[in-house]
Amino acid sequence: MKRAECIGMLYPELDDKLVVTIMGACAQELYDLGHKENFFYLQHAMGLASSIGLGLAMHLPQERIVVLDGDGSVLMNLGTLATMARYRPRNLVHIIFDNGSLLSTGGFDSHTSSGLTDLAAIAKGAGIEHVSAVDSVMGFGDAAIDAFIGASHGAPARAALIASLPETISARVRQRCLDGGVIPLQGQREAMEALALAGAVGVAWRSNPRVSLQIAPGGTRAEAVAYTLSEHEGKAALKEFGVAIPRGDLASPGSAAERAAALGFPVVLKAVGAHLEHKTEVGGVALNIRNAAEAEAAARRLSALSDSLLVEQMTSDGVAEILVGLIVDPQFGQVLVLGAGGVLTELLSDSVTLLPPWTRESVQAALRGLKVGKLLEGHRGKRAGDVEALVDTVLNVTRYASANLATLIELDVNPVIVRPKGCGAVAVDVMIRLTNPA
Amino acid sequence: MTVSYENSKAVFQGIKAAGITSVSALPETWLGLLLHHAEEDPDITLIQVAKEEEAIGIAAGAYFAGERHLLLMQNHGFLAAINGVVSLAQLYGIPLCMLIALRGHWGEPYPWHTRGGIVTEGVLRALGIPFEYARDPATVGRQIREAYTFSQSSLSPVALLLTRDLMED
Repeated sequence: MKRAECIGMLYPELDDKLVVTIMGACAQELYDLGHKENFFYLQHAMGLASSIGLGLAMHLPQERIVVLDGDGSVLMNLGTLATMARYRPRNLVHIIFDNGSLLSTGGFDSHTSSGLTDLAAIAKGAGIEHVSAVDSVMGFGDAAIDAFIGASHGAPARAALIASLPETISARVRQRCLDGGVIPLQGQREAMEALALAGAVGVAWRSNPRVSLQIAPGGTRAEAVAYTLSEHEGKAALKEFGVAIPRGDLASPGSAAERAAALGFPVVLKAVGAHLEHKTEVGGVALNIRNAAEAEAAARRLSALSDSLLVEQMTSDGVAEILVGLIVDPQFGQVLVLGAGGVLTELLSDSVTLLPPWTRESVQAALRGLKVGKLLEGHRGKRAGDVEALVDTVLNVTRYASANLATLIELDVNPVIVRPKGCGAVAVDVMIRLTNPA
Repeated sequence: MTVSYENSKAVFQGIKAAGITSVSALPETWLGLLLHHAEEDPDITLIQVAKEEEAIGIAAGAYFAGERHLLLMQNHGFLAAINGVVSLAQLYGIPLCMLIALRGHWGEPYPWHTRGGIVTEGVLRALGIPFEYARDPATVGRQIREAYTFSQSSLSPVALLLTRDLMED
């Protein structure tokens, strides 16, 4: 192993470090690679490069110090190893090139040339925590990584090794880092992106430490035995938890018009059945029916889809339509989704997800963050919506979800029609998927 | 003969008043009480060395780091550090403010201290190192401050010799 090769290998890493070298070939080889203002070449004063490095390291804890030393110099100041061990500066790397020779003064053998004197053993014996003895350039690189891993232990932060290009970090080095608890990041740009994301995750965890996940104790549900409540059953289930639904009832196609008249026009007619989850797309909904003739015509058309129809009062004074959903994430359990509802759901990417606990404040804040939230506040002179009633609806839906933690797979109230302030909010369509408890 | 508690305190107060934030030392009897004070002071970084010459290197590092550093040693330790003083501090113009316990001088009962005590002043003169004797607790603080100032302005080693009058009761 050539000293010059090692110094050449180190050189690109030295830009942001304070470097102290001993005199002679070591200084010359560093100088030949290109002098930098953070390099100090100690002429004479044999043995003191390490002490200068220690003095720098202890008084500049935010800087990193590299000392390039030789066997002859270290033998003149062996006490420095014990002093370094005592104060353990984590920002100091002391590199000793042991050529077994006093080269600059005529090439006389030093004490280490016989192989009897082992500087690494002396350093270990002095109490220096991380000592590596290497005899190849590859080993030198590995030792540098190990020194970094060692320095990262007990440090107040996570350590990462960032390769400037994704492909320049070998599988061997990567594994070495992972084994040592250091994160290998491949590529500067990729590393910055990863760090930014990790930072965002950290901020998120710190900002809401009160998260208490709602996860069914049985774990993953059996999708195979899942079933969907009919819209009418779903609405009835939510009504028990205080969710307002439109006045109305089931009727046969033949009696639908009569039932509509009893409710008072305008009404809505819907085909009901488990196979009709997307009834709007198959023409299973007739809106804004204003008289008995229209009701009869609609009932006749819908009878092709189902022999059971839902007749409901039409809510026609809505200010905004909001989606209230619950999904079950395998990792996070029940997650509340709020967003723009009705036909806008799939047009606008306007939704937000919330982890439990769900509170009045967290729901209000989430609604304010939606684009459609502007409609609720009274957009361009329009009337403001009954936000309090909407928040009540959302919280009532979450109470239903909590009560059915073991069986609920998916819940979609789309939309909740928010009426003007003081007039309430109505869940006009409900889809609930359940399974048997695990 | 015992080390003076009161005067050790006066010396330490002088060190503090001079704005010193970093001290290197090799413990010796006369400096013991002083070092205890330094150890307990949260504003002072104390670095105990294995041999005094090391402290010259550490003082250079501290100076490069912009720290107000002071060296504490016995005169025999100073003799052991001379190559560092000459080849590092004097060659590169690095200030050293050295407080040196002057053992083996007037009143010395122990023979083993005497040779070092007799030559210390001559060696300091030969090296061209400015020095003063500190004898009075009332003025030692000012002397420390002045020694530090002079080391910085002259970019050279400066020695304040702590005498028996000051260090023993």
